[in-house]
Amino acid sequence: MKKKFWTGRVKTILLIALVLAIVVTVVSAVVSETPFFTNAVQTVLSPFRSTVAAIDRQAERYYNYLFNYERLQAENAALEKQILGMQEDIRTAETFQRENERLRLLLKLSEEHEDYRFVSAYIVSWDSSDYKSEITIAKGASAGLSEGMCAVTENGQVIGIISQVGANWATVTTIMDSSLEISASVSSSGYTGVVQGTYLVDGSHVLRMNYLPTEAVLKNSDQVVTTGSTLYPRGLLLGQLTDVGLDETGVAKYATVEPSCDLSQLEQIFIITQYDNG
Amino acid sequence: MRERYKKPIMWTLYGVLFLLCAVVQTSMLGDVRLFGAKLALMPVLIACVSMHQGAERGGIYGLVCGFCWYCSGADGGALPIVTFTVSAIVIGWLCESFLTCRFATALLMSLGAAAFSQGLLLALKCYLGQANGSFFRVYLIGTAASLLACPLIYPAAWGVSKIYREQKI
Repeated sequence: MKKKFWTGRVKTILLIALVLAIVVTVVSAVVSETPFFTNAVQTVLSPFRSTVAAIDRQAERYYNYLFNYERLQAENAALEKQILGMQEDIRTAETFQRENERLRLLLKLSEEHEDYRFVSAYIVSWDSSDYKSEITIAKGASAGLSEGMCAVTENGQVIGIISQVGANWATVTTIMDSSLEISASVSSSGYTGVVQGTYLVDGSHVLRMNYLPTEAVLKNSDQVVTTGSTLYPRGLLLGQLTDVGLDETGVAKYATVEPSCDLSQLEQIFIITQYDNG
Repeated sequence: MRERYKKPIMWTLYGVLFLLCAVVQTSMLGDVRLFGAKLALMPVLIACVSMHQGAERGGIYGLVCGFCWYCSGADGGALPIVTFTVSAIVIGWLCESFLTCRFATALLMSLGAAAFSQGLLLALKCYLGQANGSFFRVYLIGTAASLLACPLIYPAAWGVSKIYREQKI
């Protein structure tokens, strides 16, 4: 039997949905902190996500163990760590050379990061959208985290910046997200720019370093590192240059950057909660 | 079981179903891509529940799920609140008036709900400059792939709806 569509209740429900959508949008835009309703829902979801993610990780480990992938992964991780250590030595030497040539006596060189303080956290969920790149971790304000802190891998590779924090959860916007811009420099030559996630015409995501000087001389495999700010320290590895070209204006150069860390393989990340900005 | 407890139990179980889908989509399937697209379980859940509950109750369920999905940090801002509500009302009305509650209907309604909500999301992203036309292929694949969840979600929603059936006068 055909029912009437536009009943009073249906109109009321639609009106409530519209008003609620407008209200939450305005609240999110006006309030600088995480809104309380978002905090409440995420706080409730966090333990469930942690449990399911832990079960998923365990199941994946058993699966990989059956096919002997675990041994190969450990071997691969050890070799990657060795290579990254050697690359860091090269970057340090190039930094020394550049600073000596430009006679910048006030620059403080930092090779060892004894001043860093880390908080480790497991990833419990990923954003379910095709258009964003965010991860949620199972630690929040109670562990000393706050918005703007930088997340890195155990090898010092930048993963992203904390964009939202709750009591026992935090959301990290990764470097592949188009809304995040990180000031960076090419370690060998010192040219500075801004690294941002973007998409190619075929829909794939890449990192792009924008606002490079037109006269910049760049080559593939040049390493890109953070320039440092109040939010994140300098010298953290973002990736390597893979291609260079002129941007849409034809004035500035841009470069595509291959990220140094594989976001799809992350399980545990480290948040830099304190560092010496001197 | 006393009649008066059946209704709250049914809606509680629907809430648990939402929680399960939300956690599975983000924690287990969050970094999984099928031919480059991510699955969208929420529209399938909304469709399967509102099929059995009708336009009004389904619309309220869609509204609450949309709000909770927004609060869980999903993409699209407050858009899910509107799209889930509209999808639920339309699907509930269609099933009350014209269609029968069967699995084939569930597939069709899930496809419609996924296409509608994900389509509006893509349109919003294109308008904001965060996506372009090349994502249309991803949108199509994601919408179609989301139907893979229907064989799991529809029986669960159907089973929960059996707990309480309003007497139609």
